[in-house]
Amino acid sequence: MRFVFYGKRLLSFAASIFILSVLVFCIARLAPGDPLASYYGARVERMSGQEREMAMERLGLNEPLAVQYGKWLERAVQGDFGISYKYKQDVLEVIGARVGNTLLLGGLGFVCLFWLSLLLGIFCAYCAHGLLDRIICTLGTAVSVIPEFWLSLLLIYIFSVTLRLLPGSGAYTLGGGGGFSDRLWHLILPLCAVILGHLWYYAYLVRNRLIEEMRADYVLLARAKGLKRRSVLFGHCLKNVLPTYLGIMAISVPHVLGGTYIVETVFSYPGIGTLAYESARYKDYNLLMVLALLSGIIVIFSSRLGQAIGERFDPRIRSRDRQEPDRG
Amino acid sequence: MNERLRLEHLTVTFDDGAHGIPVINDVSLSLSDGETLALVGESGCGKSMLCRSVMKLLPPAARITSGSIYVNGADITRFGEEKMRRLRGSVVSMVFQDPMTALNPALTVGAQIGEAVRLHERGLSKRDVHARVCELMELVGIADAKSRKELYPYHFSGGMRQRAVLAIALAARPQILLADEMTSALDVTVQAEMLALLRRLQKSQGMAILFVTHDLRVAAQMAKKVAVMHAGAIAECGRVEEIFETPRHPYTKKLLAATPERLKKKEPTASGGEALLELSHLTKRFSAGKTTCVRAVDDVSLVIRKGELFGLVGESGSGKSTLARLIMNVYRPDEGDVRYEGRSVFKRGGTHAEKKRLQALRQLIFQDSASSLNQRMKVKDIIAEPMRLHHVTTKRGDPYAEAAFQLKYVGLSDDYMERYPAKLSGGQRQRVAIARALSMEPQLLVADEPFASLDVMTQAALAELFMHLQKEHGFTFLLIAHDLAMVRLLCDRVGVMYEGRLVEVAKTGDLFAAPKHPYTKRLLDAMPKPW
Repeated sequence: MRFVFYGKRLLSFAASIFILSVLVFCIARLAPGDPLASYYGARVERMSGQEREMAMERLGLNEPLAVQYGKWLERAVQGDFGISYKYKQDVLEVIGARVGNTLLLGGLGFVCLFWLSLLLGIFCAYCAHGLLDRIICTLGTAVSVIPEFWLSLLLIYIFSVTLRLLPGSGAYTLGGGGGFSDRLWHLILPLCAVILGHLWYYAYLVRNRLIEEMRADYVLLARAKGLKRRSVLFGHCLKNVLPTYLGIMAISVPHVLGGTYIVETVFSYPGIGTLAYESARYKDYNLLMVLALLSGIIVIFSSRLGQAIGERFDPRIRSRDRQEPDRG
Repeated sequence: MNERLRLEHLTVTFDDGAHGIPVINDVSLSLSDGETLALVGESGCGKSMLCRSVMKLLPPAARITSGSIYVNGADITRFGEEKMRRLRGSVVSMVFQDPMTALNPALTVGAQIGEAVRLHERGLSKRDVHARVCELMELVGIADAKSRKELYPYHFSGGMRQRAVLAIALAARPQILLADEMTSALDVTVQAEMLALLRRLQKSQGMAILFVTHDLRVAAQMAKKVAVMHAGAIAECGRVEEIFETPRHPYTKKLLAATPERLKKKEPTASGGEALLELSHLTKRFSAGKTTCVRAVDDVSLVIRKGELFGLVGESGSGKSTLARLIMNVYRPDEGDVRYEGRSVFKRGGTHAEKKRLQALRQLIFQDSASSLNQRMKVKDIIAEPMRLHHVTTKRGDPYAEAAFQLKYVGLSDDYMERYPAKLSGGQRQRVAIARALSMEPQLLVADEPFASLDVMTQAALAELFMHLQKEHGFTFLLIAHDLAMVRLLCDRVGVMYEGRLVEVAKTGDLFAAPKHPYTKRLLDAMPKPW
């Protein structure tokens, strides 16, 4: 049983990735633009028709779309994803060099986001409808409607250009450093942009679910026992809200990742986001394919994780499976 | 006897913008050690608010505006939150109405009881708490406490959950127990057990109990003193015999007249009509888990005759609703057949039109009218929808005119046509559900617990409506109910269901006079007796 179950899951996963790869492949090639430009740079403009033909043939771009895809797939299955037109390097190497930066920004951003949202949500729920709660709600909504790129620009303008407190671009000081503290120093502003862009969305969710939970009947019983309001909030309500929160946070990994991509681009932060943006812009097909598939895998994986968390931790979902059918 | 609780001219108001609405109006009561005071009244009369004001756990909009509440002689209306918190659970405890939602689904039952134990007794070791939890669970009649305390509330039945809630309330040996409709959501048999348990506990612990209920018969069983509450005020307060035999307040008189025992019994319909509905060896299984399966309905055979009012009783989980759904062709049976006028309702094949007609002839009225009516539809659309679906050519012009007629017929004026279900009371919603069923001019009405969750007076009005409808139209009724008194009042014949099987079928008079099956006997014994 178990084996069949996981087999099915794996099959559907593979099918999703396959469909995604076909779509990205086709759309990338149908979009206007010149892939040769990314390989040959400015030289393209001086090429004769014949030279172009030869160049296209060398990169395998003159064949029909289906054949191109077939060849790509054949090599990809063997682990060869081709070279990046722009960097003239193996695609995986190009990504490998930068994936650490993104993981640092995205991962750290996600962890901070997770805890800050939770704490802020709990705090707002605790003083619900009070002055502080209302101020935070208004402020939070205002910040959350600012698009990420604009928020990033704002942060750069205030803290980097005007106050000259923090670096506004890159991952480390050029020509020197590259040390850990230097990297962290460069990480502060992009990290703030990633967190601020999403914080209120999740904090508000926690706040509202908690307030809703505080109206449940069992809260009255818990209060009637003689528990403090705070103890009920932490000891009783939070336990019922956490599974939902964990599930939603898992599903929103790609959401946060998408935000990271945008922030990276604005901050010229050498991560996967900048790379994805460039590869799409310059028709760096091979690079684009791998990045798109990587993002796809993360999306599918995290939504599966979210589902699994929901099923595992929510006693109400568990109970639905175990309870006898309604015979009332 | 020590006086434990005294309310003096208590008034609680609900802030509604500019002006406050009093929900409790000048109430004075007193309660002593070892005494039970029953507080009776219909829903919305302020019974729960009264309990919650004694705990000072009122909803944010409600405020105690005047009067005082003395607990052991101290006026708690002056108490701050911290002082109040120490009082809750240890001196005053409360048990709530709905056991399904009163426990936290994410914590084990033992943890929730243990929390109450630890709160008021500092410095207990883990083992002491465990021992005390087991002791409490056994006290309220949960056997095998050691393993049961590790279970989550969803493993427990309604009665068991209510026992757990009671264990929490008793954890710190309170002197005053507020029982807010604690048996209303339970089966008759479980209710009888709970009431006996509560009486036993009171005797051994000497608590003062404020027993809130809407059921006069239960009140009479539990208490020597009764207070009747109406619209936030105490209408009448006195000894049980006084109140029930010589009521003085007009509201008390009305309330008493509405109990099923005092309503005029339906004259029996001429029996021996031809069979309308035949169930033969009907079985429906549900799988529970991977290996086990539950026979919700197990080999039920039954004939319902034309024009008959047939009652089906049994505790929750006995398969009554499943049977109703099988008759309505909502579920398909695993075995057996339902024949309506000799035709099988499950027959595959046959023309679409015929099937539709067959379906229209049988109509179902649900238990919970709050969720069986679409909240986003107006009353007129709710009633007219089945007519539209079946393309019925209505006698009174368009479907809306027909809807207005049916609405008037069940006792609601035209004004209700434009309203939404949320703006109606429980009784009015149930009437709308009946009007919707009637609009199809059915021959068979299946009513699944239509009286549950309604007030005594609303129940009485609805029962009269059923009797009237049946007399005028000669419908055949299948009435599913757990209230035996109501079934006795309305039905010609009664079937008793137990664990999916139909254990006894008899004429109403015969069944109540001489029950044959042991379960029927138990059920009748558990029935709250009229005083």
